Amino acid sequence: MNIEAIKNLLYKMADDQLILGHRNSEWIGQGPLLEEDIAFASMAQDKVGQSYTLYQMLNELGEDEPDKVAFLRMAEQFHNSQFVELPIGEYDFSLIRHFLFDTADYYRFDMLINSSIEPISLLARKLKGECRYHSMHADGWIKKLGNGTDESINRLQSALSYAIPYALGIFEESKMEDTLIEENIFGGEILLRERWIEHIDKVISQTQLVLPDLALESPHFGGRYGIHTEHLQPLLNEMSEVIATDPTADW
Amino acid sequence: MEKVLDPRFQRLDIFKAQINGPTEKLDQLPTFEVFVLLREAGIYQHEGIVHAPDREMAFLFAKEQFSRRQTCAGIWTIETPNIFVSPYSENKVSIYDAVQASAETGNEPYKIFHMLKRGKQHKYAGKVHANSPEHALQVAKAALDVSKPVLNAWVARESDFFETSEEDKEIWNTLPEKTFREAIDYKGQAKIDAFLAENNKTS
Amino acid sequence: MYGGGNTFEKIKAKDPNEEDPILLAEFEARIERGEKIEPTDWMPDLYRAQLIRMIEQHAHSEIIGALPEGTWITRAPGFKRKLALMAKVQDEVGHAQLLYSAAETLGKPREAMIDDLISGKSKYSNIFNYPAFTWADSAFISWLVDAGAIVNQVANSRGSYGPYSRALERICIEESFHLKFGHHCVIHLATGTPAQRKMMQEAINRWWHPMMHFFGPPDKMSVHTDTLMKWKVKILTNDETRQQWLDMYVPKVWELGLTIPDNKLRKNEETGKWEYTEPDWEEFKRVINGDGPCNKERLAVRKTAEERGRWVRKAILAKDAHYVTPLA
Repeated sequence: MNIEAIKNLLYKMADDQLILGHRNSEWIGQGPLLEEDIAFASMAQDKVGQSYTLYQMLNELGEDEPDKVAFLRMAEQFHNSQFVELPIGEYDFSLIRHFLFDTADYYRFDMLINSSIEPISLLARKLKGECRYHSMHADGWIKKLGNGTDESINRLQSALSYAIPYALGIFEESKMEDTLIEENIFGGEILLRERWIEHIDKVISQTQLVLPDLALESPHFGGRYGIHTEHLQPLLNEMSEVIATDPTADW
Repeated sequence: MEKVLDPRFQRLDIFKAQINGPTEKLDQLPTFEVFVLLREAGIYQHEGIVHAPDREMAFLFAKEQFSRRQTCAGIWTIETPNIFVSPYSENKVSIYDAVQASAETGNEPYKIFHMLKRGKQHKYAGKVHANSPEHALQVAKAALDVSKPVLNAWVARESDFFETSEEDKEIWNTLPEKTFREAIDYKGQAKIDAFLAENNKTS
Repeated sequence: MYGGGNTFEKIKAKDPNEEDPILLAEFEARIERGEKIEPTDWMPDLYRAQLIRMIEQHAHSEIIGALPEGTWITRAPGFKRKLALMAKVQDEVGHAQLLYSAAETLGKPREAMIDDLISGKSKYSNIFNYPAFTWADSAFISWLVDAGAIVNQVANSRGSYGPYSRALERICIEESFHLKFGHHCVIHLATGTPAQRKMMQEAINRWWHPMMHFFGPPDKMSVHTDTLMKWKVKILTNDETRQQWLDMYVPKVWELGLTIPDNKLRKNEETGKWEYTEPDWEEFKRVINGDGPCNKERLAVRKTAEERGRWVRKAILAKDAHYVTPLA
């Protein structure tokens, strides 16, 4: 069992979930519709909760406690994709990100059900239902707004075109990629990307949106190696504002 | 005026918002009635409404508004006007007293919901095959348990409901683990006791 | 979250004396027997108007009430606090949804209520016009403001209108988490480092007076409520809810070695009533009428949310969509 490879996988997943969960929580109390405000808030909690579970697994593998790891690292120590750290923007971008990220997330956990590492496989099995709802919710909205008014179609199209290069950054291979695949820990980013494309293409083809030609896009890589946009460090400063005043205190 | 303290709103120009509100046509979405099954062995019960564009979206919204605590095994949603509402009766008088029982069924499946006490929710009473909502009540009188006075009944065609599919039921799998939404997760007495003991020692 | 008697202005409705005496007698007899009124039942105009106003203000208080604590939603210290605060503020939005729905059964569409909130025509609980400067303010709100709301809501859940009672029962169950979570936060701050303790004490000092206002003006100053009590629209008076809250929570604050900024505060063992310095009711009126520290910000945030969400609602609203009053 290659502990380093497992940690590498868990870190990128946990960091993605935490940062996107945090971002999406910014919508709580200011969503476009009360019902959607509530649904989006639940999914943000699911994400932060998933990251918490993953950091706990990392803790069992010898890493620091979840609160320290999540709240007290610097941006360059984070392995999330740059996609998740972008500001929430308007609801068009937040929904497109939710759709693109959560589709990948659903298939990632689906693939991890077959992981050779039992605790990961068990966790994936457990979270599959939660991720299924996220994906249903995202698909429902994209179909609705992607066939809505001129304004909603235009907004979603711009958000999609802007988001795609970042979304492709989710599938950046880390330095442990070969080990993960060889040891059947995780089926790999390339395979995940294929399944992701198949799904998003299927949903988008049911709307008036156009999926950009992915072959022509250059993905925003770097996040898995600690290279981030200007947005991550301010997010972390904000998130840790209270706990950092006294990290040893019991809050 | 105080400085805006919420970093989320410092990032927005909130004082610029102009709302046309009352002058514009109300963008009021239709409402959907939501019925929830808490656990497999239970029965569906009305829990409230959601505003939504269609019954599928209503389901997505209802899932988090009406089943984010404890457990859930299924949700039905139906647009409000698709429910036929019987008159309310006075206590001890059943609405079925004024209905002629019919042994003759029809082709359309209907769901029937009963309210047995004022102030309580409507609960699923069963399914009948009939030709109209009125006919469904006649069939229900013969086919369902109407031994207790029913104060009000709702009748709706089964085909008008959106129902959770078997394979979608896994969306509630992790619900019992969301203990951070439960009071029981927050026990503070030990800390208070330790604090009081410490204070007694020093004083 | 909602306190009592925030309304001073008289409501416009048909005088009950002008209602059909037979229908009115049946209606009152039903309430007298302890039965609930359901949406399609006959009801006096004043009953309907009062309920709409009360439930609507309660709903507004939830949606605006999500904002002061929301101030700390991106900054909650640690996973447990972060998850809980997200869930807690989400609940406030959920409660607004439930309450707007209950009010809708009386015939006022939700969008009309939200328009009245944004235009300032309709009021909400005064306490949310105060700022949450620190994490401890948020802890105070979760624990003690919600505790006040629960006293009020438990009472009102015994009221006569079916849909409102059902919504309140659900809300009270959910809010038991808020109360425990808030207390848990306050306990940790009060028994923590000197800096944490200081932060908590300062929050109490800031929030005490708004909290005393929360339950509304004293009964002797309030508008005549006999009819509302008889119809079980209002169950407890403002003073009764304030006394209940003081009795339940002042000892718990003192237990933690924290002080309350009112040197007259004490329980009179003979009368069993709490005595306190009368809060400044002129300030209360000023803040309710728009001149509080955060009124403009709260409404501006709500307006912004409505404005930014409008394209979404428009896009999903079918051309042939038809709104009808929900059933229950």
